[in-house]
Amino acid sequence: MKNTSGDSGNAINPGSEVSMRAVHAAPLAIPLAVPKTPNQLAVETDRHMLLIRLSDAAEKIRKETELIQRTSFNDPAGRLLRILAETVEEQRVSFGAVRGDKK
Amino acid sequence: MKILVLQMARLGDIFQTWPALRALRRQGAEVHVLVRPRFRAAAVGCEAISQIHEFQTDVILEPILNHPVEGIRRSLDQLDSLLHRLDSEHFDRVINLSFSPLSSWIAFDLERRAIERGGSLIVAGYTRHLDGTLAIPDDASAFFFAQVGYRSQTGAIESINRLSMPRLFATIAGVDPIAYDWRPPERRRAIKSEFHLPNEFIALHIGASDEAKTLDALQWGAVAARLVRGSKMSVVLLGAPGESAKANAILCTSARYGVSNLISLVGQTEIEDLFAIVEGAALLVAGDSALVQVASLTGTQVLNLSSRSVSHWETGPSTQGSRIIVYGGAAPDTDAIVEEALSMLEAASDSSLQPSFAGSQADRIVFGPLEPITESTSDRHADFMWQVISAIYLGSPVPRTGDPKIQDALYQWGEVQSIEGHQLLALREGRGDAQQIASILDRVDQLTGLIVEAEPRLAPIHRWWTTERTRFGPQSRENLIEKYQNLNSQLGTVLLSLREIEGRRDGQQLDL
Repeated sequence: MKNTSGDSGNAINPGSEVSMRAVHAAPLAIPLAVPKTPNQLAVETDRHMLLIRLSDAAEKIRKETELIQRTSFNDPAGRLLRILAETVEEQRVSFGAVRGDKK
Repeated sequence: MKILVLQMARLGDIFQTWPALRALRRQGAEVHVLVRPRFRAAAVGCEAISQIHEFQTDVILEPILNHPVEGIRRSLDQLDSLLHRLDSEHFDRVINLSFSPLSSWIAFDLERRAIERGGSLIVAGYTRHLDGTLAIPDDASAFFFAQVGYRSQTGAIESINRLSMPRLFATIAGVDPIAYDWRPPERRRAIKSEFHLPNEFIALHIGASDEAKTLDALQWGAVAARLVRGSKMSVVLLGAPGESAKANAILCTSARYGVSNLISLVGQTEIEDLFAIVEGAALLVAGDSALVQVASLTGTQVLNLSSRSVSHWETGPSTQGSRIIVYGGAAPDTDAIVEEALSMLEAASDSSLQPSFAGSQADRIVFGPLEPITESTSDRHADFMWQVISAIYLGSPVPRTGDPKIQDALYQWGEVQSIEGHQLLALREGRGDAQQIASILDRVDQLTGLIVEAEPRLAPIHRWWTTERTRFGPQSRENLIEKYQNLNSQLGTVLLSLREIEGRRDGQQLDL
């Protein structure tokens, strides 16, 4: 029997933390290809670097979590790690990463 | 009673929480909220809040992002410090209105901390089971999970739910708001002279979260100029600092039409200014933005230009007489906007008139924050799906389509549901090969998915059913089988009622 009570944490509305509206967000128009200014390029590079740092942080937390996984979530350290992991994951998603994607 | 409300979303979501917070306060609760610092301003004006706590993401993440080795410990310390502070408040209840993984873990941690110090804490909204799986303790949050939140997982843009977010928030909080809970802050700045606002004006919110979801500068300029001419009022432009260039382009466009009494406050206002400005406006014309929620609190009528990708049922305006124009890929027609706005101003000048579709091209007219839920619209497909939801969750009469396709799908699903029932009984009684039964039950799930894929009008039932399974959480095998059996029986009732009603004329109610 399939137990659907498994961890659906990754399935509950990652977008809605940012906004209820993000729940409905779907692109309706194809953006026009406009040449990017140096400023835009700099902003994009900064965002890319931050996303890399966030992904590195997510990986570090994942390794820590693996160490602690043998204990249950009765352990406050395990809970704090999960909250930290979700905080990082939210930021990664807000920078365009796919939820749960390690890259 | 001391209550912590987790509202970690954006400005508009916080404004939509105000009626629930006020209703909680009216019951005598001491209400605290946890918000993000960036959106704190949206909570400041709500007098029902005793204390605002902040989830400072930048402070928490700074160590781990900048100090590769020791950073993780320091980030954990920051988090621990926040949660310890919250726990030391000794809340009786946590109401999680954020619907996110992060907030569910925060609610869970606070619950555990309370237990570990010998206290107790009741959680409404998403939290976690002891094994870390998602827990949805209350029916209203389960409703959100099944019938609202699924859109983010599936990318679906249809909006079937017709319960507004303020009412859903209040239901999760376990309170009944009254119309008076939709009101502006008691103390708001007198800003008319500061911004040189005219006595009578129409406010236009020129921005949106996505530029494709609103008018461009030429269109807004034309709308503004025609509104000034048609209403003899001034027009005040509102928007964020990043929209100043667009505001200037709108002023230039309207000047070309020979209209000069436009005032741009774009980029000049703080959140606390917005209440007084919107309250002073005869009408707000706006896309899907937090200003619509401000107008719902000030009682200002809104002409809401709502993108099809946003649910106006959930986040649209609530002031009586507001109207909603829904548009798809392209921005709405400027003629329709001007005609609708002028018609609204005319209707508002006669307070004896009830809101009416007469002379209106709007997709929806609003009858107030506590208006009866709309059961029928011009979209019969969406109506049927909503009525199915309403029958399951609200006890409304079971709807009827008269469509043989639905009959067939219900019959097929009924057959599959019956197989599941038999297999669950065999499992409970220890008959047959458990592994084989498990394999059949997996096949039941697959077939059910295929039936619903072929007849999407039954999707709300499928989402209710799968969500209820999610709510079971970790259980002993015996308990789990029993819960599955009960749910199977409830599903049978739903399917049978729908099948029976298809052959009859009168509605009947579900008894789940």
